[in-house]
Amino acid sequence: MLKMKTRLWKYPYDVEKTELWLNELASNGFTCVGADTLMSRYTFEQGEPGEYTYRYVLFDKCFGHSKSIEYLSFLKENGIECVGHLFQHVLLRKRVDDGKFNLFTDKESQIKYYKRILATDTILGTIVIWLFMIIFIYSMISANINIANGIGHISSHFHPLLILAYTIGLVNVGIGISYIAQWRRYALRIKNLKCDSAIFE
Amino acid sequence: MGGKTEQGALTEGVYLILISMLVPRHGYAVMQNIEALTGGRVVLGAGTLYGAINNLLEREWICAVKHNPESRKKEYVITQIGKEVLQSELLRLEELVKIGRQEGLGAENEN
Repeated sequence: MLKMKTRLWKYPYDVEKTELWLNELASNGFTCVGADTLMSRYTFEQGEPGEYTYRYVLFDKCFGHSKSIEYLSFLKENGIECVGHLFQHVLLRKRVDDGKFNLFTDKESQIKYYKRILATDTILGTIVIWLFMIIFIYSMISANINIANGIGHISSHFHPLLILAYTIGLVNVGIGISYIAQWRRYALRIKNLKCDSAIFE
Repeated sequence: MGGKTEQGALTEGVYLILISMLVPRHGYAVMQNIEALTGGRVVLGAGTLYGAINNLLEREWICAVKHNPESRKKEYVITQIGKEVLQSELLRLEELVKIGRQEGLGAENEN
């Protein structure tokens, strides 16, 4: 049997985009068989195109928690297997032949799930990233002053350390903005679902 | 008791889960049964079903069947409270259908 292992790296800033990426690869015959402990490097094997559907989900409790273990065994009974995990983040897959793979099919459980993402992932991500950014801005300013005071020549603004700090700061701003965009996306979904649930079940 | 006496409408999912558990069934069998009963119109997601089962267990509308050594899957069956809830839901639904028919709605009026 032809088996090819490939590893690909992806920054896991947006779980839905990662999920989309994994499913796109799976539809082309690259089935993800594992994710590293940081859920950023994925191992693929060449399989049948469109064999699996992948879902990147956020569990209520951490992976090792007894409730998560119970939930996972329930999912296994339903033909859903775990590919990788990091704290509450779990990558699951289900054979396409076994039907559609949607964990939540009614508005109530969807709202509950999106609220969980908002409360844990997105808000935490936003806080952490912006905190990092503030630290970088602060260190950038103080480094600027130190360099200006110490060396005092024109090229001090282009000091390699400063350029590094600027770059990291900018990357952080980008990630911070993307987290805020995710936050808005989930908040909007919850709002729409709540609107709908006043009329439909 | 955990059973709720005063009640509103059941969700479609809960109604069908309770119906499916009139005989002992495990999660996957419930899902398949619901799909078969509704001709594929209602397909419950595993997460939604899991949440509903825990909720119904808490309310004592269903209970876990003593472990079957042959299968590792947990089976559940409806309780007396669950049956009563289901019965009153059936009456509620019948009333709604009756009202609709009285007001001239119905299969024979569809064009």
